[in-house]
Amino acid sequence: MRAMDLAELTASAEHIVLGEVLSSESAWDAKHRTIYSTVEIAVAESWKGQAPGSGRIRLRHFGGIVGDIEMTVYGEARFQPGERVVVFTQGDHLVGMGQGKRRLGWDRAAKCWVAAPWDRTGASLMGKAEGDSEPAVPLEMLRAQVRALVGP
Amino acid sequence: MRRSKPSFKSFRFFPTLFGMVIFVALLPAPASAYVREVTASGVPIAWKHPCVSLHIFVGSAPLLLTSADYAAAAAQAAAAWSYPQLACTDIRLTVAPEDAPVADVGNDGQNVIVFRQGTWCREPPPVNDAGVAEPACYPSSALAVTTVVKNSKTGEILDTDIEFNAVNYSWGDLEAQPDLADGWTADFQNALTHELGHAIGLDHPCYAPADGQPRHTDNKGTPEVNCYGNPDLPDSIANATMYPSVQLSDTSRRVLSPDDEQGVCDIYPYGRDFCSADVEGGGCNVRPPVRSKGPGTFIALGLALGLAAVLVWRRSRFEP
Repeated sequence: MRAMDLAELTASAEHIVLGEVLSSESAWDAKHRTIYSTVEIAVAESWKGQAPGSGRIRLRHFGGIVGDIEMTVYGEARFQPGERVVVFTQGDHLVGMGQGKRRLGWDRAAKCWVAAPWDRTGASLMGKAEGDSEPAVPLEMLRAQVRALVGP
Repeated sequence: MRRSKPSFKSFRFFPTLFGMVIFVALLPAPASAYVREVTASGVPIAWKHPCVSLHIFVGSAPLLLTSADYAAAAAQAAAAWSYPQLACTDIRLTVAPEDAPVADVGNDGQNVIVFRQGTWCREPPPVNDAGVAEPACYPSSALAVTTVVKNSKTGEILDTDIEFNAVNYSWGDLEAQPDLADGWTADFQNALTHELGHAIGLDHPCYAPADGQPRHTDNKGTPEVNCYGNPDLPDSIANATMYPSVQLSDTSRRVLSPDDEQGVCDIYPYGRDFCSADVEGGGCNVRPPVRSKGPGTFIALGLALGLAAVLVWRRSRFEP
C-alpha cells in the first residue's frame, strides 16, 4: 500500500463523512468465490460531497466471515457496529482501502474526541519513511484540516 | 608410592572447558519475536500440509523483466521461506510458471500470483444475487493485494492469491537495476517475499495503534510493540521481512531476518511432514522425514564428547 497523506485522501474522496457504524455484514458472492462485507454508517456530519438524503451510507469491502470460512484481504479496513468513524469514500468503497478510515475515540483526559491514525489492519506500507505516520489528532483539528483542504 | 596431585592439575582446565562449551550449547538461542496471523476467533492459521504450490501467470508479464525473470524471482522468494534453504522447516513453497496471462482469484483451491495490467480490479468480479457481475476495483494506492481464505475455527489455510498492481506501478529487479527506483517502481522479489509470509500464516511483527483490532502477542507471549512512531522499536523488528513499512526501492526484505526464520520454523517445524521434491509439478507427497544432521545431533555429539573428556580425565587422575 502506498501511503497517502491527508491532502491526497481528501482530494481523492468523493465524500468525507463522520458517523457511526450501524452494521457490518458479510456474504459470499453468488459464485461463492469471494466474501465481501457491507457496512452501513449513520452519517452525523458531511465534510465533503452532498450529504446522503437517507442519512446513511453503505460501503463495501472485500473480506469477512461467513459460517466457518474467513477471507482476509490484507489492507482492507474492518468495521465494528458502534464504532464512530470518519471515512473517506469513493463510490461504495474507502479511498486507499484502510487508509480511508479514521476511528474516533473519546480522550477522557482531554475530554474530547480524537481521530486515530488511519486503519492499517494488515496493510503493508510502501513509499514512506519507516515510522512516519499520520498522527492521532483531536477531531476538531481533523475537521478543520479537512475543511481547509476541501475549500469553500 | 603415591603420585602427587600437581601433575594432574593442568588437566582440570579441559573438563571445565568442555563443561562450559556444553552449557553454552544447551542454552536456548536468543529468542526471536514474530507474530502469527489468527482468525477472528483467535486461532493461529497455517497450512495443514507444508507443501504449498502456487502458480505465477507470466504469459503477458510487465515489461521490466522477462517472464522467465519474474518466474525466477518468484521461485527465489518462495525458496526463502522453504526447505532446504531453511533447514529448520518442512514447508516447501513451489511456484510454477504458467503461460496464461492472468488468472482468477478467490476461494477455488488454486493459489495464484498474477499481474493486473489492464484494470486494477478483482477478477472475476463478484456476482450479485441477480447473477450480475459487479466490477470491484482496488485503489491505485494498493501495490499488491494478498487474499487468504481459512477455516475460522481450525485456522487451516485453504487458499491464497496475490495480485500485483501493474497498472499504476512497475515491478522490477532493483538489485540488478537500482537506477530504476523512481518512486513508481518496486522490487518484485522484495514485495513477494513479504506477501508470501502472509500466505503461510505470519502477521506483521508489530501493531498499528489505530486499527481498533485486538493487540496480538508475539511467540513469547509479549504484547506486540507499536510499529509506528516508536523510538524504541527494536532493529530486529524493523529489519524483518514481515515489518509492514518499507520504501519502494527496498530490496533487503528478500532475505529473511532471524525473527522471520524463527516464525516459519516454529509454525512448520522440520520433521512434522515432508514434501518430496521428486513429485512432478511440485506436488504434495508427504513422507516421513529422513534427516541429516540437525542441531540436536550436534548437541548430542557435544554431550558425548564432554562425557568422554570427563571420563578420560577421571581415569588419568586416579589411575596409578
